[in-house]
Amino acid sequence: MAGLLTIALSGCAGDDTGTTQTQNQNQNTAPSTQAASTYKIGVVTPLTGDAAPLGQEERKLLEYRLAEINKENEASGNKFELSFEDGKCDGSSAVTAFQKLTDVDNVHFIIGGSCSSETLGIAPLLVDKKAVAVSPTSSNPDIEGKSPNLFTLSYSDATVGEGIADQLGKFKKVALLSEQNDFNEGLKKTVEKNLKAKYPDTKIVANEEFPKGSTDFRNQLDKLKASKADAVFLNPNVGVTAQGLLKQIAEIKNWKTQFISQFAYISSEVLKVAPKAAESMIVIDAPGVTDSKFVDYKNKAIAAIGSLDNLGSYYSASTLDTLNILSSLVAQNKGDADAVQKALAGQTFTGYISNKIMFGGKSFVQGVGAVKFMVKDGKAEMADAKAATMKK
Amino acid sequence: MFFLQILLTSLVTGTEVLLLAAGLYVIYAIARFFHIGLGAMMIAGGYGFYVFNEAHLPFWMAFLGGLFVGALLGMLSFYLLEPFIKKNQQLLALLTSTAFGIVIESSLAIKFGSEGKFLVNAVLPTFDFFGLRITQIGLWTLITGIIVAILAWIFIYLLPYGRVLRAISQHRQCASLIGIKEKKVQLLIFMAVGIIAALIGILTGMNDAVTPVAGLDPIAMAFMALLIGGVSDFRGTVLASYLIVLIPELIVAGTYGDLSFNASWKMVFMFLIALVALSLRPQGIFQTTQRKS
Repeated sequence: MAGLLTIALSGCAGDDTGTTQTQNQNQNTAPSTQAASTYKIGVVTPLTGDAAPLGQEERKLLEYRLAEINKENEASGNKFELSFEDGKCDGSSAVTAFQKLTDVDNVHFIIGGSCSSETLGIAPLLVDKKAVAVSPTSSNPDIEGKSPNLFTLSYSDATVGEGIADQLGKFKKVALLSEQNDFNEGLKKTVEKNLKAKYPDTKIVANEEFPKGSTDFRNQLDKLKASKADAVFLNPNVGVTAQGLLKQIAEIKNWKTQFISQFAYISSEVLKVAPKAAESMIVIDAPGVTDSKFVDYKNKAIAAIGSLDNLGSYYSASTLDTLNILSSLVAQNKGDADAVQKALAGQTFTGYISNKIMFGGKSFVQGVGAVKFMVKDGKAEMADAKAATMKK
Repeated sequence: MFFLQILLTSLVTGTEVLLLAAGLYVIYAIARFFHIGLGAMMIAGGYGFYVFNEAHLPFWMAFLGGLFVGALLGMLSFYLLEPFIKKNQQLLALLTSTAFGIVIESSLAIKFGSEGKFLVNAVLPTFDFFGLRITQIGLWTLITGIIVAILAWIFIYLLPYGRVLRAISQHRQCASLIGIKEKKVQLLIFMAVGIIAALIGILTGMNDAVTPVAGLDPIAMAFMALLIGGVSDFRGTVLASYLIVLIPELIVAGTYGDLSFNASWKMVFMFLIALVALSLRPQGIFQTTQRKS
């Protein structure tokens, strides 16, 4: 599997932090003098709760890839273990999970959190615990700059929010419906900010929120319908909430409006509960990763471990990239958290989401855009074929 | 029309609260404590249906299975609480009932995860009339509420068992002295209330979804309704059950210039209503203050 993805640390990668790498190493070419070690990597992800479908898929994909990495590293004697803790998609549970990993399991490298609430929860603790966290999926713009030891391979909601505002800005009257959690609140704020700045003629005629974990949205939906908005931005968290909301939209007849949404509706698993209601919905998300190596690998993984539909294309790729990059750096730096942090901040990596994955001293991976998808026959298809691959 | 639609949708929630409040009311009448664990029993009924339905049993069997779970938990809770009821230790009974509910919720979360489960995967069919819309399950909930209320009234006021129930409610010791088997009646009531709670759990789960903690808000609302309505006057409980659901829903549905309230405000308004109602009429909506000798 070594050939499938080579995370090559690029030579002479100058960067904003002033760090200059002079080495050119390949993750699969471990130095012969390196002592055999077992490295433990913690994973904080929602294993229960409404966002569990995302966390569970992340878990099985990581476990699948881990087995391959350990096989690839047999010659060097390096072995990696993943220790999963349930962040439940909320800050306080993520902190408990993080403390268990760092204090009890003595882990210094974390994949996660997956939800932005989890990541924002553990961010202030990273430096004190000498831990480095790389999230494959957290997108709240507030993550930026929260900790020098925190990185995310997700696109920022600032980008997605701008894309959503660009779609909403085409209408005169718009309505927003958001779930109350860090991910959705962050995205909503970005959308509102962009609408105000770029589209002053677009009026928000209804702006509804519902508590996390709600299951009955009928009165809010009726309020949105009564507002006669030309377009409605649906902003629930992934999984059951998004499904429930779509089901209840389908109960309403003769509601002619343009639905615009985000990652929660990229999955066919979610859309299948009410494909007619979702027809023509616009979904703004990171571009699907269409690189043939990734597509082949993903298909092989799906054949072995089942659907990755909730993760979607981009987050499946970013999850794999996170494990590949982190395990490679941990082995190369013999578990030195400071060295791994410096490498992440300064170096450039090759992965599935891009040939040039770099943070450049920032928390968010640089250069990821957002594209428009349109739901057709129960599937979110990229509306702009030119944007099919990410900026390389 | 918009407010009528909000009213109709909220009537379904109000009926769910009413049925739960009716259970609290009856148990308070015979055992003098608030069975807060009913909220969890309600949700356990929904999960019971889910399990049997996922096992591909016919609908009616899954439905009866869910009700059976309610009856079983009603019986279990009775045997757990009976020592405290017997000794008039209401506070310990309340704490045990709460603990019982927490154990059920935690067990459900461990077994099924805390994410929601749909009891009906498809889009729910709706009835549309005069521009108003209600789901088939919502309509069934309203009908169930009416049927249960009528049956409860017939049972309590027209049947011999109702006289037994009222006798225990009025004076447990005297009722025992005249030969009424108090324990047997209490057990049957606990089981019946468990079945009704499970029925609401199934209907709510079908209309929306079930989660292990989905019983918390309804039991809090039912408890409030019981206190506002007056713990010994069922008419007050009925009225309060609808008022504490409908008033917050209607306030939240409105827009007042630039001011508008989101769904999180509903519980705030509910507790404010409770605060005002209990300050003005602590004895209940319909009850008059009794002179103390």
